[in-house]
Amino acid sequence: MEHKANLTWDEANFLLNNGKGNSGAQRLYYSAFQAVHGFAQKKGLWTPGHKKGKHEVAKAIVKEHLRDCSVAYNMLFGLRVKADYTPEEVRVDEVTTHLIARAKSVREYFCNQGK
Amino acid sequence: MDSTTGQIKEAVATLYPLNFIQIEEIPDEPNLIGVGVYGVEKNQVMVVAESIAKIEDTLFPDGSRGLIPLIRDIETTQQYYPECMPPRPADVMAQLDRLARLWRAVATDSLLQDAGCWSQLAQEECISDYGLMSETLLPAHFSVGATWCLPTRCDSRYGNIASEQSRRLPHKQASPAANEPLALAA
Repeated sequence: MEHKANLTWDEANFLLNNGKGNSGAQRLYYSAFQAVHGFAQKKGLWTPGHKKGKHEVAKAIVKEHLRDCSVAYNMLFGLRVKADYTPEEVRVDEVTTHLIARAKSVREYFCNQGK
Repeated sequence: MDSTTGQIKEAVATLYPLNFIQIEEIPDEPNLIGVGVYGVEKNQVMVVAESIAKIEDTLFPDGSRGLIPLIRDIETTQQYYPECMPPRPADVMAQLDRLARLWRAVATDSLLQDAGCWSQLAQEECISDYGLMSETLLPAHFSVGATWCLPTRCDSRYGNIASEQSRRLPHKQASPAANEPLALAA
């Protein structure tokens, strides 16, 4: 999943740099999620049919392994939920440099751990 | 609203009493709970998110449920959810001003001695404002006042005590000072 997480990261940056807040926020979340999910699968923490959802498991893993990034990861998931399901559009300025930096940390940490 | 969502909402409302709060569904993750907080200052968004994380730790230390912050800043709230905007500072100040007048009257004891003042205040809707204020802005500071001042439009917590106190009130002539306009307390 590392390759995919890195591709998604590039897409997120491209979208955010081009004023696409909704799609940018989605891809930014997924760039972190894909790294965590890859780690979860590799360690057997999540398999298809798991009683908990994959995003819930990923949230718990980030909280356990990278506590400092946990709030930002939750925020990114919240932005992704808003981008997908609620009437409002996520603005580019809602995806702050802090969130971007935390997404990067999560992606890098779990890509490395998953190797 | 089940007890879990009620607890979450109450915990968030205690921290952010002026903001509209709504528990929201996360469509593809039924075990996660979205916590919608509206009309948040842009520079306070992460602070609110951290508060929600702490509430999650308190309410679900075993990780049985997870909270997801769905925070709308003022710009988003104004544009998409104008009905969820927090009261304007001017409105809050106006309510505080009315509260201060009422509180001053209570403090001078004149109000407590005249049952007629109760109905007058009720007509002016000071009491309902007072109830609102005591529930939102200043619960700790004015809890004693709430006991005295909510005999007719009280909530369940203050009702019995307030009714009891109001029955004990002696009927005297109201002091004219109780009806004078008073400046906002410092």
